[in-house]
Order: sequence, then structure tokens, then C-alpha cells
Amino acid sequence: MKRIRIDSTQKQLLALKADSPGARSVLTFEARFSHSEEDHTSRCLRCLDEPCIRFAIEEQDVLRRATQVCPVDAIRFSASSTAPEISNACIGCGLCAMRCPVGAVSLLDDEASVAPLVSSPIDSDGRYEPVEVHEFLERRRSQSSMVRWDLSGMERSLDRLSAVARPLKQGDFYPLVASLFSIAGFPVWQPVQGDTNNRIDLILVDALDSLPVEVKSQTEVAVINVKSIQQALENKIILDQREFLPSINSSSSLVVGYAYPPARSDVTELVDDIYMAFGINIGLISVRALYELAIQHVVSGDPPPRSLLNSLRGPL
Amino acid sequence: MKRIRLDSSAAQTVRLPTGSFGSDSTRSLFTRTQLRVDEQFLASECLRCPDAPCISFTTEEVSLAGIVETSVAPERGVCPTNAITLDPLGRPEVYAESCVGCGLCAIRCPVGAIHLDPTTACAVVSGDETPGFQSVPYEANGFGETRELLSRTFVTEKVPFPDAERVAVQVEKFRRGVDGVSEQRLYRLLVRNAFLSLNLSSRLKYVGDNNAFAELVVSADDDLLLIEVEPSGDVLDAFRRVIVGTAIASSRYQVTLSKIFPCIVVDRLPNARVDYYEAAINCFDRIAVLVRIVPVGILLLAIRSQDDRMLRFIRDFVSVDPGSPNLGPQVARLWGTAKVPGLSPEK
Repeated sequence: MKRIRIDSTQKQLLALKADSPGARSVLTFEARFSHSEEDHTSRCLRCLDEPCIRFAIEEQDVLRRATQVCPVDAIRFSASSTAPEISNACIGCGLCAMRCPVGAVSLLDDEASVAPLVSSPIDSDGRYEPVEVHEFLERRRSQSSMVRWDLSGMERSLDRLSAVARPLKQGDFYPLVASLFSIAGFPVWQPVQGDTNNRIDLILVDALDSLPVEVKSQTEVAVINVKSIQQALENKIILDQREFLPSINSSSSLVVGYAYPPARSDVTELVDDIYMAFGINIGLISVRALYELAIQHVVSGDPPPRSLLNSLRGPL
Repeated sequence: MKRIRLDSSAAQTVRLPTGSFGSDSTRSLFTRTQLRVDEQFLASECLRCPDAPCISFTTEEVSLAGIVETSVAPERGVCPTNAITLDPLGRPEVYAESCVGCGLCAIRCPVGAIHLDPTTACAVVSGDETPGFQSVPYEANGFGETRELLSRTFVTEKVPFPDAERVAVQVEKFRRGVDGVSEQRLYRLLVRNAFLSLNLSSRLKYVGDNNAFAELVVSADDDLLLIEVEPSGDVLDAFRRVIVGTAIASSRYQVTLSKIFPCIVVDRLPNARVDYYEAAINCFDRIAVLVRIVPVGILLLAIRSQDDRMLRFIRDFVSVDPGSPNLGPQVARLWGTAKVPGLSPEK
């Protein structure tokens, strides 16, 4: 991979541009997920809105959800540092890397362990190629329209990223799922844990059609099971009836789990039964599929596939 | 209650039976409940019925013909704790240490030879030592003739509504459970056996049966009761299970939704603050499925009284405001008694 160094005199200009969501969607982030020869990364630009750390106000569009990207709050700026520092708490989920507009945050290629995140050093050892900011932006713009997802590289990345989510307990897994939905373009409301008045794990908030999400970490259940489906059905009933968020009866109730149930499992049949009996769709999403949704959205800049989730029945 | 031994002269004073008492060839000879003449209850000594209805159910009783496969034999014992067995002479014998006082064996006895001790809530098989027996030998006619005589001479009478305090003793005893038998298993057996004793086909889910739509399925006429037994308190979990069970019964087995009665049997009604009541209302409004919640005390009252109102009570639950955990007025209307133990939610 070729690394590009941005001329420091232009830093402020780029930071300002990167401040708006529009700028970020131009500067696509597929850096580490693509094996393209033309892939470029930069050192940290110190974006004013710090997209690697928190969601922008427009992105949040939520009621009480935590705003940070990192599920374990492992990445932050300290006063003295020139790039975000990543603590040992990092689980290697890759969310901040996905959010960085210039690929300055990358996952180490260490597959043996959970890959820690590092930011590229400010001063390179000569591998950085000085480029003018406007030239860099132009190049990125022209590339972004041509980016085609490299599926062979994608499969490997997805395997690795979803493996990261495997050992996570509820407290880390739920924020990860919430962040992934946010990155995929779905504003998320994560009710406060332990709020017995709201037992829905996450809600994809929408002005017309909010979707309830039941989240099951791998440490709770290995694969999406019958109990998850039962809870998803209850979630849908509650969301539709309580009317605290707009929802449409015919749209789905989602379950996110570490993995899909095996083909022989009763779960798929149960999803059909519920549809036959009550006309309610239960959609299943694995962590891997959710990563794919998020990455696709980040890379392509297309609007989130809302209609896909709204009418989802069974596995995505 | 006055207990007598029957002889032919006593038998002549009672009316002839009307109607039949069920399909089982042996038990249909007898009434399923204790016998009553005028204001006196009559009970006999144990007749040593060949099919021992106090100990086991018949296959037909356990089956759910036409709805589910019954090739996997469910447990057939009447007593949830197997506390009643036959002694070498062919008489039932109750182990007081295991008895939880549910009263199922007593109500299954065709001649009232088993009763519950009101203070210990233990089943007792009447014998020579039973106080209050009037010695009226029935042996005169011989075993077969006595059974024949009984079949011709007694009319079924319902036992009046059981004394609430006595039932409370039983419920409490039951709640505590018995050595080494898990509470959950006890409850499931008890509830299943209660419905069987109401002459309703009932079937417990067996382990690993993914096609079962509920822990317990009861067939009552055309209706299907789907029952989840949840003594330990997670009513919401049972609630979710029973809704999904309703979906399975409707979709996989083509049972009309209006014929399905989802129920949860609980130890006591959930705390009013628990979300259950709101969830139940939401569920009814959204998918027109009304989940009933039945305290086990009600069940015990019902089986002791051998009353068809048991079923009506469950089905009529539609008329109870599901948002109100207070069943008192409803119970009073249906059962004619105002105070029933275990029916108020915990504060």
C-alpha cells in the first residue's frame, strides 16, 4: 500500500472540508478493506468533527444513544497528542478505521490475536509521498466513483471483523451493533440498559417507520435462537402499540446475533409461522452481514438500504 | 363428611344415575367424584378398581387425538410426585412425605375412598382406622356385585366449592415442593394432571420436541388451550413463548386463531408494576391474541370442585380487564366466593 503525506500547510483547509458529511462521503474509507493497488492512506488530518471518535449531530438523530463510535471507548484525543490515541481496551472491531476519511487508522495485519488499532505515525520513515491537498482530494474523488468492492478481499475482512465480535459480552456487543447500524446509515436509539419500561435493545429510528432490534451477543446465545425470535415478536408488538415512535405494522422486527441458525434449525420455520399467523416479519441479521451493510454504505456512499430491512423476513 | 360402608339397604335409598360418566369402561361405572346422598356425603372403602384411576391415567385420557402424535408416551401417573402406589394387596398407599396435597388422586377415586387431611393436606386412603366410618359391611354382596350396585344406585353430585383456607394450605405446601423434585416439574405435572382430571385430553411437551407449541396442550371440545407453566416468576418469558406457540398452532397445524386459548399458569399473579399487563394489552390490540394468566390456586380450586366452570373461567377471561391484576371480583362472580388465596398481586 502506498501512503501519501499531505502537505502540512494545507492541513486546515482539508480539515474544514472533512468537517462536513459531504466531504467524508467523497473521501471514502475503504483503504484497509480493499486490495486495490491504487489504495492510498494519509496520516491523521485531525478532522475537526473527529469522525473516528464520535458521530456527527446529523448522524446521531437519536434520543439517548451514546455518541461515540468505539464500543469500548478506546480511542480519544488527548490534549498533547497530534493523532488519536488508542488504548489497550481496543477490541479491533474496525469501526474507527471505517470512519476515518483518509485511512489514517488501520488494523494491524496480525491475525493471530485480536488486531489492535494503530494510527499512522505523523512523521513517516520515507514511505510517505508528499502530495498537495487539492491533488489528494481530486484523486480520491475520482477513485471513489470507480471503487468496486473487491469481494475476495472483503470476505477475508468480514471473517476477521466478525470474529472480533465473537467473545464480546453484552456490554460491548450492543454498542458495537448500534455503531454498525449508525455507520450503515441507520440512526439508532439505544435505550438505557435496565430500563424496564423499554425492553427493546435497539430501535432504528425513522420519521415514518422505526424498526425494533433484538440483539444477542455470542456470549448469550451462539446463534440466533427461538428465544430471540420470541423477543423480536414482543418488541414489534410493543413498538407498534405504544406509539412513542412512528412505525408501520407490516415492517419487520429485526434480530442481530453473532451467527445465523443452522439450516436444520427450527428458527426459520418459526419465522414463517409468525408471518402466517400474525403477518409480522422477523428479519435476522448476523454480525457479519451487518459489517457488510456498514462497509458497503461507507464505500459506496449510497443511501442505506432501508427498504431491504423494512421488509426483511428470515436471514439477510 | 360422614363416611359409611355401603350395604344393599343403604344403597336402595339413593336415586338412580343419570347419564354416563365418561368413555372409560371401568370408571364410567362410577361417579368421578365423591358421593352424596341428601346432605350427607357418602364414601366407600377402596374398591380396588382394576385400572386404578387414583394412580394412573388411561392412554385415551393422555392423548390429544388428531392434533399431535402421541407415540412418545407421556408420564401417566396421576400423582405429580408418585406418592401413591399399590401395596401388595392391591390397595393404594400414600407416602405422606412425598404427598403435596394436590388432591388429584382423591378426586379421581370413584367412591371417595381417598380424602385429604384438612390439617396436613395429605391424601389419606380410607381404612378401618379412618375415624367416622360407620360400619356397614359391603362385603356381603361381594366385590363385583358391590361395584354393580354402586353403578346403579348413585347419582353424581358435585362437591361444593372447597374451603378456601384448606386450599391455601395445599397451595402453600405445594409451593414449598417436595424432596428432590424440582418445582417446575411438579407444576407441569400437576397442571397437566388437573386438566386430565377434568376429562380433557392434555399433553405435556417432552424434552427436545421442537414441534410442540406449548409446554402443555389441552384439547377442550374444539378449543385448544396452550399453557405455559411458569411458577418461578418470569411471566414475560412465558408470555413470549405462548404467543409464539399460538403462531405455530395456527400456521403449522391450521388451528383457527379464535379457537386457541393461550394461558400462563403462575404461582401468583405478577406484581402490578411488572410490564406483563401492558404487554398483554398491547398483544391483544395488535394481533388479537389474548393471553390468560391463571394462578395455580385457581386451578387447584377448580379441580377439587370438579367444576366445568374451570374451563369457562379461563375462556371468559376475555371479560377481565387484562390491565387489572385484581381478579377478586371476577372470581367472586364466577365462583360465588369472594376470598380466594393467592389471587392478589404482590405489593
